[in-house]
Amino acid sequence: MSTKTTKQPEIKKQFMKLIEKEKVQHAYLFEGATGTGKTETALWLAQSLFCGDFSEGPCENCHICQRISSHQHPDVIELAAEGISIKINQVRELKQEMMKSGMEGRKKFILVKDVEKMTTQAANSLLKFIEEPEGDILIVLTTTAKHRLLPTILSRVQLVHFPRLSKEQRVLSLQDEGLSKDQAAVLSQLTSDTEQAIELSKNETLTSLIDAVWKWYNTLSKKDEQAFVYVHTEIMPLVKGKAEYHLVMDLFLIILQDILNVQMSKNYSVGYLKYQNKIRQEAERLSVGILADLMEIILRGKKYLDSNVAAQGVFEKVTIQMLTIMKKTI
Amino acid sequence: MSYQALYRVWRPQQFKDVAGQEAVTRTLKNALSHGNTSHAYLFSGPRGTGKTSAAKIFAKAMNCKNPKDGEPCNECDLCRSITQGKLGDVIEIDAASNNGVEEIRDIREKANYAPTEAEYKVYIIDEVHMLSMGAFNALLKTLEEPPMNVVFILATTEPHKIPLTIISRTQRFDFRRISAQDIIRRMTYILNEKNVEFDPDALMSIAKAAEGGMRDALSILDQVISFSDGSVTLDDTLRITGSITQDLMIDYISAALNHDTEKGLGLLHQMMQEGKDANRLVEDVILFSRDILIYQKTKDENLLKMSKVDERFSELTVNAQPEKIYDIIKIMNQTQQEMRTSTHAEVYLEVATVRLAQIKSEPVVTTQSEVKKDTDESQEIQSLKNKLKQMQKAIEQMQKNGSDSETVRAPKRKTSRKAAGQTVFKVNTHQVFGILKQATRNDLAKLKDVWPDLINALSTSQKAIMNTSKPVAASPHGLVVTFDYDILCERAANDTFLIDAVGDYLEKVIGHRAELATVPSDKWMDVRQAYIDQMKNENGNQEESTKQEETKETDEVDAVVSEAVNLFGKENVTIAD
Repeated sequence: MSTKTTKQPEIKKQFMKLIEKEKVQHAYLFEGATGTGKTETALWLAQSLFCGDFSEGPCENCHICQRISSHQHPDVIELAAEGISIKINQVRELKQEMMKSGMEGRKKFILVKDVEKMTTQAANSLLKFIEEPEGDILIVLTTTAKHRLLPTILSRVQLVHFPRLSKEQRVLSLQDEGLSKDQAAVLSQLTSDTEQAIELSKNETLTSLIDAVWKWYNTLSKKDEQAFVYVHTEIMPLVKGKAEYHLVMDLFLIILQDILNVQMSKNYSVGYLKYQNKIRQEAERLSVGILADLMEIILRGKKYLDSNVAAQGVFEKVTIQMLTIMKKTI
Repeated sequence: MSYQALYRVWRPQQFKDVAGQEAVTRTLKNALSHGNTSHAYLFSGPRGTGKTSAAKIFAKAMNCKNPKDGEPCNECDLCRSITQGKLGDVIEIDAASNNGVEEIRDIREKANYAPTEAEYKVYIIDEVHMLSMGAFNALLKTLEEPPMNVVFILATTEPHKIPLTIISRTQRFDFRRISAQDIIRRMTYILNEKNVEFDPDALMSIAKAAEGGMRDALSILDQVISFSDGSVTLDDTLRITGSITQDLMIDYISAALNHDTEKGLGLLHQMMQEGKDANRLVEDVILFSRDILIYQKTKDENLLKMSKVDERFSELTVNAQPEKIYDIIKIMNQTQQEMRTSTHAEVYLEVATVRLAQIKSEPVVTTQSEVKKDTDESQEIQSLKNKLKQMQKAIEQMQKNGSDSETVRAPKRKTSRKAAGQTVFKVNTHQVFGILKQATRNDLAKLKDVWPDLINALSTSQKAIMNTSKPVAASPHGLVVTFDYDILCERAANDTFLIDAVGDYLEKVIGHRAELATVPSDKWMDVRQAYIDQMKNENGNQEESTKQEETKETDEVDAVVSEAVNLFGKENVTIAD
């Protein structure tokens, strides 16, 4: 987690001002989509507080800064989910730790990643603690799903929203990482997290999946009943596991989003860059209402996938529903 | 860090500072001043309403050496050490982390010892809903009859999780959400004390975002102050709460009401790009719609939850139809529920925006289905007509050639299909010719100018039909439009709503209604040629002759066809017109 790029310069500037004025609060919640630089900013904040050489941000060179960025500093405590959730025992240990003053100074910094993964017990036991921590402690919580937190937690922290990087920014940064323009366009829509996108781009099935989904859409758009068979012959062999099933649906959503947005604004940057022209044609043909219907079908399909309905069944159901709608079109 | 959050600095230290809970604080004060305190209390209510604060004040007031009307003096040693959390006799327990039977046993044991400094030993058990069942039950007996001079105060946000046996042993106080007015009053007080400038509108929007929690309000206020160099402005507030400005909201709702999908989606993307919270947006739209409805009925500004009455708002309320607003609320509500479990908030919002812009289309939706029915029927008619034509041609052929039906059949089908296409606008040829007779280049140019706007002004379903249309000829009172596909041509010709809509629009823009004639684009050249031919030799009576032939033949065919004759006859009447 090196600070190679400065994501969120605005937020950092804000914190810099707070540090100068000594108005840093005791508890913050960093909220935003994955890849918006929450953890990065949190560690940066820790460095800023601990670094002896603070001016215009942490020096990032001194012993302290380096230990923080390599997660070695004893007074910067990071807490993340063990397995699928953050359990109450972890929080208890953390609180025990907090009773003691810092190892190297009086200050302590706590970073709890993905607080939405806390069990109810853990979250509740954190309440009193984050309301009035004793001593010189700064707590930063990060989350991607604010609405899943307890309202009692939310009311005790200062919320810092991390806006998503704009799509253009994301495409550019992906291209910097050596992805092709076509890939960067799709991936930047698929996820806002650059690292995750690069991870995905290494996955070979993705490339074939992108094309396969496009063909699937095309057969559907031609009102071809073969689309139903296509699911079985072309899509299913490519995908394995829940994440990839969702990927199929997400890719399909991107096509629909592309068509919808191209219709609305001519200079929308399309995700399916490769098939841009065809998408523009489709945009001429399909009405927004129909597109909305199709999107709803896919979203519903994703819900089925979430509740562990067999993927092929979901895809087939989705296909049939979309065919009926497509047939109503010109 | 060294800076203390506003909600910690300004934690109320007297009952009169606890905002918005007059009923509770007065009861407690009276009980204290009359010495009628109970040994167990349960404070319940949403976050940030003052439960823990009230519990601490109560502990102070009980132990204070010189209380005044039930209020603690906040000056004596005891009061001070309680405020600082140092007094050993006032014990604050976090039930969420100490939720086992063990911890409760510990409390029970220690409760037996008399208080050391103060008069009463007060146990404040916060977040008490997290106690385990065993712990609750272990507490029961102590709670019912605690030792002398021991008082329990339980505080929770979730009273429904507490066993009835506990509730029945305590005096229960329900803390209500704090009203926006009370929150604003308190914030104004704090800001004045701190000498911070502020915009009253900003406080209003903070109070609304806080949803009845004082701590939420102060947290946001804190953030706004540090964000904006020590003053409170509306812009900063909106940025921090992630709410949208009223102007933007009005734009969005108006776009929905005017069926302007494009603008709606544009605004949506803009808001998302600015980092507005999707959930908050949906909530705001719902609340705003509610305000519109309420203001329409009551004209009472005080009932509004999030909007301010200004010119644009009142204009919107005057123009908005309540039914549409209901639909907006309905759609947004559904979206909100679905978004909760999904990571695709943006897609849901896009879908919702499209749906919002289509709301009014309800009458249009029905017409659409009618149109569909119409086209179904006309298709049926068409097929019957085709059969007729086929037969007619066959007979013609037979009459002419007198033989070889096999060879005739193949071309027959082709021609019949063409004929089917032709029948659609054969109905119109008369009309088309009429328009062509008076057509001028000027009229056409005028129409071509307004055509894209006209298509945009139509509802979505109509747009879909008209998208490929092109005006090719126009007279002062009529226009000829070509379509790329026969089916569209047919639909447009049958859709009276569409024709009306086009007429209405033209009336607005070019000042007069125009008769609409439709022709498939690939047939247009033929039609034009036919017109030129007709102009050359003014004898267009072939139609009638074919008509006579048809009726002759239909006498001979079966019932299905005879029914078609009726229908076809009708069509003929219109042609004759």
